[in-house]
Amino acid sequence: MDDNQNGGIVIKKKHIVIAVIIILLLLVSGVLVGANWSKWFGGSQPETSQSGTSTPSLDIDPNAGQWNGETPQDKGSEEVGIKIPGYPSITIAKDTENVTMALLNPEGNPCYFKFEIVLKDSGETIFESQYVPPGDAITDVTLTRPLAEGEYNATIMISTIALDQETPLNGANVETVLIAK
Amino acid sequence: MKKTIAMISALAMMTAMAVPLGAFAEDTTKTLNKTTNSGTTEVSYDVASTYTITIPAGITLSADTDKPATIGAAANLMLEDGKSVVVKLTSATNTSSGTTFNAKNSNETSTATYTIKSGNNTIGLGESSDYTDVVATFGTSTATQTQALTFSKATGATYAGKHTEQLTFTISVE
Repeated sequence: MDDNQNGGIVIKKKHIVIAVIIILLLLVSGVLVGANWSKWFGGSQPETSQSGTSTPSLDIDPNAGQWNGETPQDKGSEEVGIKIPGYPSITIAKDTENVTMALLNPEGNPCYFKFEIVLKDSGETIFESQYVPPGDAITDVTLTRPLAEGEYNATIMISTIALDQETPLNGANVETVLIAK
Repeated sequence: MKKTIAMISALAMMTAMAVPLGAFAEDTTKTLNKTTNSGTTEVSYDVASTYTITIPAGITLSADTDKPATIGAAANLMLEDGKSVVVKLTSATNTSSGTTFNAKNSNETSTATYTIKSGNNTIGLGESSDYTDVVATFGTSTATQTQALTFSKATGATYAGKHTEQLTFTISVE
């Protein structure tokens, strides 16, 4: 006695193949629509980065990420200024290139920051970043070489470029002490 | 053979239990008794120095009037006792020394000169008894602090167009 005789449904191999093809087509079209949703249905809004600024053509540091730590307070002036965080000392791990510190471009700044860390005694550059948007920070820093245990006088050189990505603005050098331990 | 292994294991376990735990720990305790009946404990709290300085992003000079600008320190600046944050003007893209600064056009064929004052002090690059490179000094304070700068009228440009110079301020704790 077969299924037809029982009034049941007979599922043939052909039906299974068609069902699989339909499911695959639905999956692929879903992924396509999802990936292009903003392009097809998102209007003409410009692309924005994490910090809400226009996506620049200049080289944004891939290690720059949104800073959720303490943010320097706005001094409430109408004048456009560049907030420069102070780094009286920075403690890092000794004998390794991969260290942690917070190189921050405070939110609201009218420019991108580029950081360079130079040892004062030798003039040696031990780190150079790409551009960091306002509101972002670099926390994972790869030095050009490990530092042995000790204290090193250093300068964090901050060069800036306006959010139009063309106009250089005033910059700052911040004196600090790197404490490797 | 099994008996030997069992005995060695038992001995090792007994030895491990006999080693005092204090051998691995930093000695942070002091035992007081009849002869040593007092002791001291240091309580420490390390406060990190913190500050944020605001420098002018750019100043638009004028041929007719002086232009004001501000160097600021955000509220809650905290340093060790006796220390200050010192902000100096240490370099400029078109000026190597002296008190006359130079804004140039893009072709560098025209120069507009200007001077900078911090309060009543004339600011210059390089060391001289006639001027200073210190534009501001800020101490520990819960309030916002500011130092007024004055950029003089620009003179001497020989071509029309935008004349620029970028200034670099050096910030240190002294």
